[in-house]
Amino acid sequence: MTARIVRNTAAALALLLALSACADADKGASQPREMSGQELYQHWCADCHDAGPGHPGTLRIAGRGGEEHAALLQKEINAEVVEYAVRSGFGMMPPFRLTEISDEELDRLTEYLVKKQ
Amino acid sequence: MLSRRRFVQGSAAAAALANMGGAWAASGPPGALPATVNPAAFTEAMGAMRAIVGKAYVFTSEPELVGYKDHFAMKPPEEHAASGAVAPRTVEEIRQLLKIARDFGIPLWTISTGRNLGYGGAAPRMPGTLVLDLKRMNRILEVNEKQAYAVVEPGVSYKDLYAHLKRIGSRLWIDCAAPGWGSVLGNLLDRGVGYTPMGEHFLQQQCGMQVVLSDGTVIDTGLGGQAGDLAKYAYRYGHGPWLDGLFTQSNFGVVTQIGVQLMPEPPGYRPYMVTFPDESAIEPLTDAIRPLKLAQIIPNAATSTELLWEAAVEVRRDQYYSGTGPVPPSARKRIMADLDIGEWNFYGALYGPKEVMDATWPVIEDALGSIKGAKFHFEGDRKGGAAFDYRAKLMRGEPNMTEFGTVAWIPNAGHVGFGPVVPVDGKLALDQYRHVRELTNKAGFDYFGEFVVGWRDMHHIFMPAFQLGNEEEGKRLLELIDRLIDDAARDRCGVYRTHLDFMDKVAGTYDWNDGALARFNGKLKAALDPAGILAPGKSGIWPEKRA
Repeated sequence: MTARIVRNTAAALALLLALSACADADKGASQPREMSGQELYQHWCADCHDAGPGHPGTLRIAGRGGEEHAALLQKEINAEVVEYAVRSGFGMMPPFRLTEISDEELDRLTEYLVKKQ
Repeated sequence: MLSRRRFVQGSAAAAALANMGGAWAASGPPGALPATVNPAAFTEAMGAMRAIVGKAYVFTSEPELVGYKDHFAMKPPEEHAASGAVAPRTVEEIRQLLKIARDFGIPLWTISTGRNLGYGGAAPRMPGTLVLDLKRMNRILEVNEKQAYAVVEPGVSYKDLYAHLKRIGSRLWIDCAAPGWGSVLGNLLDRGVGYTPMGEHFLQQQCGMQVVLSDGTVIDTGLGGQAGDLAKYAYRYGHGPWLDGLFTQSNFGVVTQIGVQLMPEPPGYRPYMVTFPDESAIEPLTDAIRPLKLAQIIPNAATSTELLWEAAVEVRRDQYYSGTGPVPPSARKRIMADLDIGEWNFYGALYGPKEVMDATWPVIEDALGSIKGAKFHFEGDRKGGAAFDYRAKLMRGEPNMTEFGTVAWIPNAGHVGFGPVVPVDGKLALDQYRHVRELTNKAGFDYFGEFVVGWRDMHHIFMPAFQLGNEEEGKRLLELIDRLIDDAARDRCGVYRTHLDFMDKVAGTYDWNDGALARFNGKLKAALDPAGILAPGKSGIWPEKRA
């Protein structure tokens, strides 16, 4: 039993080493990239405002208006509401600074949330 | 463009949002300048800073500064209102900004992502301080797959680093704080904790810093002191005094890069949860955890979460209790039954080849299973449960925001952190839990707490939720935290991290030998920042002229 554990563990570690050696040349520095409205939603909003359990914004909004329209992508929402919520925050949601979401990014995010596409 | 930056209390948008159950953030004018700063000189300095970073990245108007307030403030917003903010992109820009700050005597408060909600967010300790916002410095400079590390700038969040590693096909794991929007560098500098086997962030991850000192000198710490050193991100100490700790929770420099050691993805991963129906279970549970952590049989940051913290990521308080004061026992029992959770809920995980996990598990199962009422839960049993799901993500370093549900517990809520550190000892844990909960409930708040064992110590993380904008409630919470800090010091438990409002108070509890430690910090401050421009009041450390 012990010999088998050692053998299999060694094999797993060898696999890890092989994988890491392959990627050694990749230094992996990030490059700036422009995000679409949908990507901005996924990056900044989805973790709190998607549908289903585990999303705190959705959980809180459901306390007021019920589960059905609690997720942002399920709601009819106008541009002014999105822009002001992002810039000023409300309730548990903090405001987002211009260094986090630029005005141009907010335009794309707002368009996505209003049109849902 | 400017209209979007305007704060619009009372607008149609505000009304629509109020219908969604919220209230507006506290507004207010920019913070009054410190008496030592002449308004005309400040205006001139802002002009000079605009010439360096561009006019779009110096913020001085009220609408632009809303995001630099403490959104979860317990006191009126003017107590921590910034006079403005400036957002550089490069180290050279920081050096030039520091020169202007020195020349004009303008104090600066450095933030990374500014998402340290519960401890002050992006707001400065001293009103009128100019925020040095490093969010635009958001490059991941290097990922080394073979040696398992990354090098990041201050504006890189956990979510950014995680997404980048996925994008490049990396098989490295990060270790994140519970809210995934936090800064990798910022959390390391605040000595935060995570939940994987690399959960003790500063001890296990930090390796090499680049720091801009108050006089503009740039230093690389550890082996970075030798140009091009091959082991710079593998060995953290170098030769001579190890300086890195000086730049954590301090105001001795501006950290602009950090090496972060990462965990190779293990061949196997098995999260588990053990629930206990009795509140006294924290005592035997903690005593069972200690030897398992010391021997590293439980490899990751072992977390024991109390009932309401566990519940709040799935349900709201009003679903169980609409009265005032703490949730009563009858409602607590219904929560436990509905969610199949305990008064205490322990989370851990196994990592490694199957044979290693199989060999380790019986030891853990025997130790925790011997505690009265222990019930084991695994991924298959908890499908669809938000609490288990987010813990399973955290223990494999996958950022998410689920824990922010603790402020969805009540409408329009914020929270504040109180974190005493104790040795891993069952009686200490039970005594501290009972004491904090009793005082919290007496003050009219629900207890939200967990005990996290990184390795040899235990962080008691207490994060009560309170209603924003309710002056009386804010005052009551301030009094509660003030008392808890006093009692922790009396019981010889140091607080490891604190909100802006309590930095002086907590620093004052480290008073052995007539405050020798504080005097030493003061000497370092005077030597490293003689102009006193960096983060006055951070961790209770003040420049001599403001002390």
